Amino acid sequence: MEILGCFKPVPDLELLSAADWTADSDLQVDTAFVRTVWNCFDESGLELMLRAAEDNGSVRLHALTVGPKGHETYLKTLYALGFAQAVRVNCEADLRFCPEWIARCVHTYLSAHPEITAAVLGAQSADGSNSQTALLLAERLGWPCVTQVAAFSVGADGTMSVSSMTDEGALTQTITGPVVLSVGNVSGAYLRVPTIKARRQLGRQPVTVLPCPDPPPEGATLCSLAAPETGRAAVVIPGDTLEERTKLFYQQYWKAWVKP
Amino acid sequence: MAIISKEAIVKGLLGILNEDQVITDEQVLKDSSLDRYRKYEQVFGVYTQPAPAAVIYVETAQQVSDVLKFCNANEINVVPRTGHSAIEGGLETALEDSIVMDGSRMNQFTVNEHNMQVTCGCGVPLQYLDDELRKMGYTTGHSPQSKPLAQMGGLVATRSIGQFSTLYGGIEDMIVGLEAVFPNGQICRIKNVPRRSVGPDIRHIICGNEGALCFITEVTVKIFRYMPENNRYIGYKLDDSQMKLGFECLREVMVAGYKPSFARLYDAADAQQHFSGWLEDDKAILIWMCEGPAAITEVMERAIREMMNAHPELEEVDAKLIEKWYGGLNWGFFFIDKEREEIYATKNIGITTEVSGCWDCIYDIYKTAVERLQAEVPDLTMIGGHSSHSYINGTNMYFCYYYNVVDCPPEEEINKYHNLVNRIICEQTLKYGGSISHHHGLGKARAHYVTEEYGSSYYMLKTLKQAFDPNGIMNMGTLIPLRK
Repeated sequence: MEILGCFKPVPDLELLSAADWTADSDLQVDTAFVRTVWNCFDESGLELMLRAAEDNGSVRLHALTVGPKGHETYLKTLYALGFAQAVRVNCEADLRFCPEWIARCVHTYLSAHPEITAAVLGAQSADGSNSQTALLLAERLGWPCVTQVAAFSVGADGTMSVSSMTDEGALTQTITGPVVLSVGNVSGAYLRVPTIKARRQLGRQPVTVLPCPDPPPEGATLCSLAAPETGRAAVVIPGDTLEERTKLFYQQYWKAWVKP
Repeated sequence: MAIISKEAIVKGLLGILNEDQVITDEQVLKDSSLDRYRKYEQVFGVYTQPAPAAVIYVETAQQVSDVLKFCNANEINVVPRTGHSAIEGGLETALEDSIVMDGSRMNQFTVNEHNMQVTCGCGVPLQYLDDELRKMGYTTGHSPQSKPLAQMGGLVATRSIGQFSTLYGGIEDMIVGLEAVFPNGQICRIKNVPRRSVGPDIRHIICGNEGALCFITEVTVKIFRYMPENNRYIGYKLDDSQMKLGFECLREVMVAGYKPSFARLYDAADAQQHFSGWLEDDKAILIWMCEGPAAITEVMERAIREMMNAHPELEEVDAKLIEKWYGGLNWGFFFIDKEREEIYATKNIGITTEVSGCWDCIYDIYKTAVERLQAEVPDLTMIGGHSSHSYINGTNMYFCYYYNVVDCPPEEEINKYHNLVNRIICEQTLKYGGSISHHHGLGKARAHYVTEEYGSSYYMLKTLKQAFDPNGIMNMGTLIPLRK
């Protein structure tokens, strides 16, 4: 079975200080200075793909990203981890709000590679967060889409066993035929790390670069940007000493909460 | 090792301290048996060091004295601690029934603006201290990466250094006076004066002792005017193959007489950990920050640019990128928790080892250590490094490395990988005449290299230990390895 994993690197927003969250005149928050990291949902998807390939040696893995040359570092990492094919669709534009266009790029690639019968995408990204790309891709392909995927494997018969989270709880489905998997929040599914030796042996394979099919649309237009209110209701317990404050906290709050 | 039982130890401590000061909770004892040197073990809940008999929280120098007298009489190993951010095994309780003496409750400080000094209890958190000083327009100038966790006693005990050391110096340059308690209970105070010539500088018996000679109870350090509005940033990228030139550039600025508050050279591998958003993956980078009065930072920035622009191999980068990066340098509990989660999931762990050397050998130390590490360490996923503390006569090298822990139980990771890396780096450093620890301390991790590091001067260290700690109760195994 051949599986395509789609991903994008995103700025490591945890490195932004509170002061950095300031919009410029174009309503953009400057993240150019921070390092990039795997979008965490995509990362989980790629790790699940590797686990599936570990369990079933006949599974062959592809990776695709849409973006600038800087993304190739990530593709080389995937080569070093054993991915068979790594592809970059060249595009310098801001694609955070262009899920339809991205879905079209991926669809174009899949149409040219009918041997690939599963596409794995992260449910959303840290920066764009539109949660649409996987669904739009499935719609274009005419493939079913399973969302909130937490795990999957490929059986000897080529069927996929897919576990996903629903409102009613965990659901495991056996899927035959092509499918799009939208990977949700998977605890502990960090992408494994290739060794330096693996990078030298496998990571230097050339990345396939495909041209940008046509200029992406401008996507959604930002009209305004405001930080959400993140304050929490709180009461500061007065008192000069820890003992005083503890006594007041116990008497005025804790005592009422603790049932005898 | 203690000559009385664990129960007797706890009883004795309760006779000196209040009940809330003596902790015997099992998980607390386990967590207190190690530090970040055994990060991997801790992530997997494995504790290979003997659990201490108790963790005690001292609140006054007299309590420290009384406890040390008790321990000295009963040969109980004492591990001094404040922020618990040590990374070289210095806080490991290497002997059975040790006690961990924690000074974090001694957390008061007094600012003397006229003398430009602040006097701190050993448990004053550096981040809190500096935040309060900044509100007053001052700074300690001390900013190690451990700043969100570290406390003043430990910072002095480990002879720590901060990111702005090229201007402000290391902790040893900042200390004015000290108070410490020795194993026999003697409380010694070194007064606050700008300088004196009355014999050897005995502050240096205390500074860097890593808890092997005494327990530091109070520290007075200098403070400086805080003028961030005058900060100037400079960055140049260069091919990774030009690291030797990079060191030359660092040297050029220092020898010319400039003291930027930070001066760094990252090789490409380490640079990608920080600047992957905009820096090519085959580029090393030089970074400076100028701090101080406006007239000085302006001139310094101009001069550094002029020097660097004379090198065609260098290409300047947007200073704004450096300024923004600088804002997110330190780390804290959030990043530690996240790191633990990642280590647990991936079994990939990152460690650092730092050394120093004069200008004529530092590149050789760096290059040969990296070559050996790549050849000899299994499952290495990243090896790189940066220089971050420069002097007129040399600089440090901070090796950063990650490896996968493969087919190896947590308790064996330290020997299969971490100690192997340390050994290679130390061997290359000693071979070329550098020092095996620039600022993390010897701890227990590198204590077995102490005689090679000191050479003939080991006599001085050993004599200090014998003089101040004849019964061997102070953090045994740190600085001087335990005899098997």
